[in-house]
Amino acid sequence: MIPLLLAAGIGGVEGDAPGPGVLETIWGISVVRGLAWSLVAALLVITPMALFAIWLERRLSGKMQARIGPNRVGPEGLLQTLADGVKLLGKESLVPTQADRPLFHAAPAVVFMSAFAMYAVLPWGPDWAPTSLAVGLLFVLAIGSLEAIGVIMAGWASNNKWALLGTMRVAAQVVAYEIPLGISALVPVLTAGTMNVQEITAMQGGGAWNWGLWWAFPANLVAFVLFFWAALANLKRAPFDLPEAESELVAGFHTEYSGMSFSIFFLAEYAAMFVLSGVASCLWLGGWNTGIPGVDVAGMGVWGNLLGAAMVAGKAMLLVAVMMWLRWTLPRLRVDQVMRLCWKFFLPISLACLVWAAAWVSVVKPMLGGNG
Amino acid sequence: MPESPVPPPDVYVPLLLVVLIAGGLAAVLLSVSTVVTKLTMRRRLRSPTRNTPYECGLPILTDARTRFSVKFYIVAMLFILFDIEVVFLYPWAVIYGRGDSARGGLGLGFLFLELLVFLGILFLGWLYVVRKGVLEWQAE
Repeated sequence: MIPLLLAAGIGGVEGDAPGPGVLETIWGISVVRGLAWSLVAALLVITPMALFAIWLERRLSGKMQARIGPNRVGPEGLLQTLADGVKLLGKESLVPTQADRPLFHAAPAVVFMSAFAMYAVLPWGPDWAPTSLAVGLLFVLAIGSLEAIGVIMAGWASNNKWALLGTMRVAAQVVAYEIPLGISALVPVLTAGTMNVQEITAMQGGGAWNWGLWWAFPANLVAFVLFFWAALANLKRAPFDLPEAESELVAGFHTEYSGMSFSIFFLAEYAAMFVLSGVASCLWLGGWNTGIPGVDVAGMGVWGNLLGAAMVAGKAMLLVAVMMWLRWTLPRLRVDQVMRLCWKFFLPISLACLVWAAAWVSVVKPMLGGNG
Repeated sequence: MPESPVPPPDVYVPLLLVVLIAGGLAAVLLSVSTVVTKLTMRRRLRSPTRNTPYECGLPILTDARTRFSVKFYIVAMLFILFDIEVVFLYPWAVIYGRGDSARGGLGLGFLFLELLVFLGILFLGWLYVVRKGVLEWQAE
């Protein structure tokens, strides 16, 4: 687990060396250990999570369309994505003649990097967080919006008309939905009084009625729904998938990408889906808290942390599954509908949530005399 | 929660590491793929049409990088304005709950009114944008 490993590598500085040499300063140890651990974590946690999400999408899509889906490679087809990855490793990556080569090659790496960097602030258990960053939520939003830059790089570098049209749609859409995303994430920050995702999660102990969802009722409930939809739009998922609408734009920004560079975009998309769902579950759905009054993860040591990690992963996967379900339920919106929905509905509603949450903090909360 | 003005570097080291490793992983995957492709392909296929941008199979006549509607840029401008508001609101939201002492005992009610003034001005701007028809995308 990334949090365990990172916490062991960076948080837990052991004072066992009485006479530290130059290389054995705390900095040196923490950097080297952290490097090793997070490499392991990236390979053992984040990538498998994305691979699992891809498998889940294909199986769920199969179920919803009354077909089977991949079920041959491994048990229930679980290794299908891995097999596809190995296949794609041997596929040639074509670069169009008129493409901007450096940008074309850098784009998948930028998208991948921004999707994976968001994991750095996702808490997995009471003691398992890669880092307890005071501005954690701001980091998620900031680094998450870098993904749009990678996508725009990809579309522009391709020098393909489909790709460029898709890119322009991404730019307008991601940029627009960043605002409701930011404001709705502000509502739990306001009610909790901190941007630290770990601290917000820790406040949601006890029963499921203590979860962030019910804070400043109904501001956080509405904010959660808004965040989920804005996240869908930011992830370019259906019904907001017009940047890569197959029937009109071939494949949108990644039309010209093949082989490994394509699969990196793919992997990054699923990693981002999972991590945004994870952040939403930490802000509103209790994160690593079980929601059962007697079962307090915080006092259970390693097993509690493991249970917490399972809770975060389970809740996040549930939200990811809802995203997949929506894909087969709702038709794709039109560009102007996407824009209108954001600017005319999501933005004012999220501001109203913010005002209500502020009113709740300053008027209702003092009257109740507690966290409500 | 103890808050020191300058957090220890240990808080930020993991961030840097995750970013570096994610970038490194992508780079490794891409280069492994390149090597594997080079080794396994028997002969390089060469033809002028092979690497042309994906279109209908006809020769490409124009560059893809063309101009776009002004409306598109207005969305970008709106984004900058509203996003700055959001960035301003974040630190405000963190200290809002304990704003009582920070404002010399003026009380949360006063801070709430200040919020209403700020958001009221923002709302007027939004209303202006809507009334101007900036958010209408129908073709004239």
